[in-house]
Amino acid sequence: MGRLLDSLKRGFRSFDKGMREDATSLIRKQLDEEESVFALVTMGVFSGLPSPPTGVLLRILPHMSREISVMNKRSAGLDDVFSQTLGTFDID
Amino acid sequence: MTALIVLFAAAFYLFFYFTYGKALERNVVKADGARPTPAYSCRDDCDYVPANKFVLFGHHFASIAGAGPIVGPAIAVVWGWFPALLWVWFGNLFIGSIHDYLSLMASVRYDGKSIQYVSGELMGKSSKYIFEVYIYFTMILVVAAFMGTYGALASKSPEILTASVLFMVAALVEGQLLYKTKLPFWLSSAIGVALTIGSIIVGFIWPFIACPNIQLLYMFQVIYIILAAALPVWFLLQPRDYLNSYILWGGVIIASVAAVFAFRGFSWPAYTSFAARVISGQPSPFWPTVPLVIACGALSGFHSIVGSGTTSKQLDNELSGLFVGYGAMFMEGMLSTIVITSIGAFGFTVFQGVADKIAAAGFDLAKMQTDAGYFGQVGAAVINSKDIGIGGALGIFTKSFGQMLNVIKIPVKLGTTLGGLWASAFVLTTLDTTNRLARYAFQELVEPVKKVSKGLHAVLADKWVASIFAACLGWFLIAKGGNAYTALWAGFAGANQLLASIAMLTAATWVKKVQKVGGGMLAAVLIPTFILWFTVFCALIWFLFVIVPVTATALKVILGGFVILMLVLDVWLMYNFFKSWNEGKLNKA
Repeated sequence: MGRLLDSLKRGFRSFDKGMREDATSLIRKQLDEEESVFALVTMGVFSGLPSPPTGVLLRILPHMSREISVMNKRSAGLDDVFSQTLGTFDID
Repeated sequence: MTALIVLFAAAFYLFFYFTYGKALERNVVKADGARPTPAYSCRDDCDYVPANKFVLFGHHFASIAGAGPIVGPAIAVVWGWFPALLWVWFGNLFIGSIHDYLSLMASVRYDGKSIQYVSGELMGKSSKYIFEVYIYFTMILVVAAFMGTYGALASKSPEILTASVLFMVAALVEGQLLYKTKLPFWLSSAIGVALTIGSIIVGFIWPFIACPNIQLLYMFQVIYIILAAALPVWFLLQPRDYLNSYILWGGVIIASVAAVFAFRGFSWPAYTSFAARVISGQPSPFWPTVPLVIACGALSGFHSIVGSGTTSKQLDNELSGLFVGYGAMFMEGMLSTIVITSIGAFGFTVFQGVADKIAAAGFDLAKMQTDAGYFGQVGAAVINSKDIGIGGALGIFTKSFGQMLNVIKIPVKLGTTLGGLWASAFVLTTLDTTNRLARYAFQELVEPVKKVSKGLHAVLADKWVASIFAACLGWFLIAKGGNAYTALWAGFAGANQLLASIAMLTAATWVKKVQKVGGGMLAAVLIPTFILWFTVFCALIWFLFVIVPVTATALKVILGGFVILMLVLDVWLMYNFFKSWNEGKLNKA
């Protein structure tokens, strides 16, 4: 009986988690995009974009490591974003 | 009979999951639980993030189960419920599930890259561009076909039109509650679900929105999809998709229970005729045209895109791939089985409800019951007749669904409205999502124009221009095509199945050249690949010579052009396949 209850609890938790993700997946994706834009605005000096003063840039650099790594990975896969977009928007 | 079919289908899928599916996992994919998936090896907590396999299954299934597995089987039952069921079961088992599973796993082995990227790697860069052109054309046809199916249904059912409009309002309210207030998640969800149920009940009791003018409905749909594609995602798209999940799971559970407890024999003919008049009123030979009718329930090229676009980046373990990729496709087969079961058992009850209109339209209902051949000739005409008012393929499904739910004491009209909202919510979702994506695809396709004229490129790539272009092209096709949604549906399904052919050819190349699989297991991939390619190729040639000439003049040029282009690209693709098969380079993975 205890195991059954545990399984039910686990099932409910998975359902709840899935639904929470369903309710936020696109917004999260949009947030990720905004972070990428932020990374570009602040760290764009590497690709020739004007950037904030060097002092500011150096101070925010440690907080930007994840965004830089994501941006790097995405720039390498720019020729393969279409499928992901289609998947994100649940085409069928 | 209904219980027997549904339980048999469940046993069928379970049996093959644990035998055939496991054999594919072991001998073809050679899944290794110790090998890190891209969700770990490329983890960035953004695109690449491991997900619980049950949660991922839910997402993947919700992504692939739209209106497709409902509409296709609902059109195909004119051949009889048995051939439709056979194609759903065996097409799903031998082609669809292999296609979905291998696309997912090939993508996993290529660091979560998309299937068109993998096809470019294995079969040359032109294959990748062919893939993208296909996708764009398919999306235009989706817009046209889905606009037609929804128009046919909503123009004949104020209940469903009212419920679907109110559901959009419920989604708008849910968006505000979820993202603009501090209500707990469970409370805003409960309110959203209550509003959804409320929209069904109001539609049932007080259907105050009616629009018998189908052209007007098309126009509203165009305006809706252009606006929906331009609104922020939190405003409508996200909350509506969220509420759709409840409709999907609720619908599947209620329908399964009702089908199991209906204990009703099938009054619909098991088999009508090999060449029943299914597509555009023309004699449509079951082979090769069945994939032009049943797409998603048996096989869909879009699944390879979803699987390799997002799912592969979240798979936590290679051993979860079978459950997510293969299992979700089987689940979709179950959904189509339920659709066919409800029509098979209750479709004639729907006909009997409009017996006088059927007689007035010049059809013989008694003969339809006794003469299967006659049914094959007139069945589609009865279902699609404006005078009879069943409301097309979606109409026969929703009305049969309502009759089936009556078994568990839900009033017929309420059940019909629920089925209608289930189907129409997915149709509308697909419509605006597709239009948004067609906009992206168009913007990508016109990229080379930038080199010729920056000004022209700026105009073409503008989000409003790209969005309006796709929506209006779809509108033009359905409105000028004389509301021939079965022809457009077949065109969409053909493009979709060719997309699946590309994914299957890519998967076959991957299996042979990278996985080094030979013998029987290679045949298990190659045979369905060639059968699919050949079947769809023949079906499109049939479509070009039989259906295109009988469509309206405006459709002849555009639809005919689409089909010719698809056929040319298809041959080109096969050339790429054989070239890479003999001398293609090998890549990592």
